[in-house]
Amino acid sequence: MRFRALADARSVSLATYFAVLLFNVYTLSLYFNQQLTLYIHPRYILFTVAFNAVSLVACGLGFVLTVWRMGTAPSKSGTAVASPGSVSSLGWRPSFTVLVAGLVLVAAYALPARTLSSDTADQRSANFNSIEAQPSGSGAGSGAGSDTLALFGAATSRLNVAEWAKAFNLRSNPDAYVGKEVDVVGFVFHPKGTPEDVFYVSRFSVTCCAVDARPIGLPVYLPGWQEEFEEDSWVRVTGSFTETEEEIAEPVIVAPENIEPTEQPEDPYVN
Amino acid sequence: MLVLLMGFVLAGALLLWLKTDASPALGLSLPTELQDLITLALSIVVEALPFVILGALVSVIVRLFAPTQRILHLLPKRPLLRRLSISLFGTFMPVCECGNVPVARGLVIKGLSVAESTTFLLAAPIINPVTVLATSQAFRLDPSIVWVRMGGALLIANLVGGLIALHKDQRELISKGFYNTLCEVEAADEHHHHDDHEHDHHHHTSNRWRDRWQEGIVIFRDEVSLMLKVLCLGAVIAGATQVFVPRDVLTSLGGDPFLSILAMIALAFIISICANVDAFFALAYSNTFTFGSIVAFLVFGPMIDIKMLTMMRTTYKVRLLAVITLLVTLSSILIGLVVNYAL
Repeated sequence: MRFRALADARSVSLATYFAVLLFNVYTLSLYFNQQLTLYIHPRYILFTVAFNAVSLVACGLGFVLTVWRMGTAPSKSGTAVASPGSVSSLGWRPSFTVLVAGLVLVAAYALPARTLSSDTADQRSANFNSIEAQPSGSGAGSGAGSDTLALFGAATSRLNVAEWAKAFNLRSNPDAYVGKEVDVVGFVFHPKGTPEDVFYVSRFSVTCCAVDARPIGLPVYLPGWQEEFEEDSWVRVTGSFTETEEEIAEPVIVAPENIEPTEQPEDPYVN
Repeated sequence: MLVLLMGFVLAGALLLWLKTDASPALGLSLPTELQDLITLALSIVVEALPFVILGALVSVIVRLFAPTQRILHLLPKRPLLRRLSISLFGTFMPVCECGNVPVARGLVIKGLSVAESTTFLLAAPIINPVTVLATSQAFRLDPSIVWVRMGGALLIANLVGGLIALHKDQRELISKGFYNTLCEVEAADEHHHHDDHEHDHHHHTSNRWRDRWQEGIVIFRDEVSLMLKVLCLGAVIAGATQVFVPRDVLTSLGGDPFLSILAMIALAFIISICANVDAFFALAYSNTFTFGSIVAFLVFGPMIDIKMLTMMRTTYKVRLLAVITLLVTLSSILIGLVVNYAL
């Protein structure tokens, strides 16, 4: 119970500032390592960084002030500033919630940042046709979908899985797609009920944070794909769209020219 | 003291070392379920943290700088109208539900009754401008959902507030920890009043300002750390449920006009997603689930979920939370049914 002995009001105050600072530093370090998008949608990056910086400054100031006051007035306890409030009302003791928060912090710092695994993809898409993704970027910009369609004339091979999915939602006429070139990166995925000769080259689409990630994908026709590619491995698929007799929800299917294994991209989610 | 400081420095250095060097080198490979659980929990924490910080800042302003007394003075005296006005407070607060708990605490400290604070807490996340904007963006094809959502939220908030107001001793409904805070703040206020009488105002204006800023930092620290603790707990629970409860259990019910509502409410309860962004999440279900169940999700989610309950627990008694949960659940189901069958 050395904690108890140390836990006078000011040590608790310092420890609290310190804990909040650790969360801020963790979030900001994610930003500087470009890993923030593993957890949240890019549109929240500025907001997240700004408010963590505010908190960092406030708590850093509080920490320094508390230390300074310890140095100058070691015996004078609780001025009007330090006391009302709360440290005591927090009832500091290593309670269950503190332990959980501590574990979260340790996990945050000790484990490498990861994306969601394919297990979660399986679980989430078992019941969703993976292509039912709505124009998820709709919050950000109006007409993102029509921009996508406007690109059709030009280099369609630059479109990613999500942009194709949006396009499918806006225009389901196969004629719009047949012959268009495809060049996408995603993981190999075979949702329940998909025809045997078809797999999806998939990505997670994130609208807010990893919690709402849902898989979306383009159907690829390749009999015997099971022997060449492991499900959930990352591949780059190039080819073009053709019409298909397979029973899938999408208007067209990718006839692959080349499928090569690839590394998981730095920004594995699409928006 | 020096020992303590050294401890902080060491702990910080160790964690930073873990972050930069050790974590790839250690190559810890956890089972994928556990890894996903951690990713999900961290993503909730990282996503919600700025909202918590924003909420704490608003709370500091409400408690120290806003002319709350004057605003509260302007409120109608008749309880019904008074609660109705309070339920509209959220229009001016672009904070989602996690941020609203500290604001609600600030309001109770300023003298609102528990019933009034819950009215605020239930309505605010849904009628706040960010949520309204996000919902209308997400459901551009079906703008009626925004109105149904806001109307439903105001209705439920006022209904629940009205019923809680029937309770005579409002302070009985406050959790022990928050009750202590209230008492301390009141004691401190009296202290301040004495100071005012004893000292000359002009001499101390600058001092008062400095004190206020420092007090603001203390309030900020307490609110953020308190919310952060329960946020971590809620995030871990929500992450675990997502990983271990198969979603097909929920989504296989999507077509049924009644069961779909129950399923979406259960989903909202489990995933604990922020009101500011839940519309985009709900959108993903709009093809498979009935319209009424989407509305129920959008009305119920911001008011009650695992994360909210853990946070509200800091302020209200469990008994009160049980009553609120029951009332909100029943009214959300009712609204969903009305939409499914009558519209």
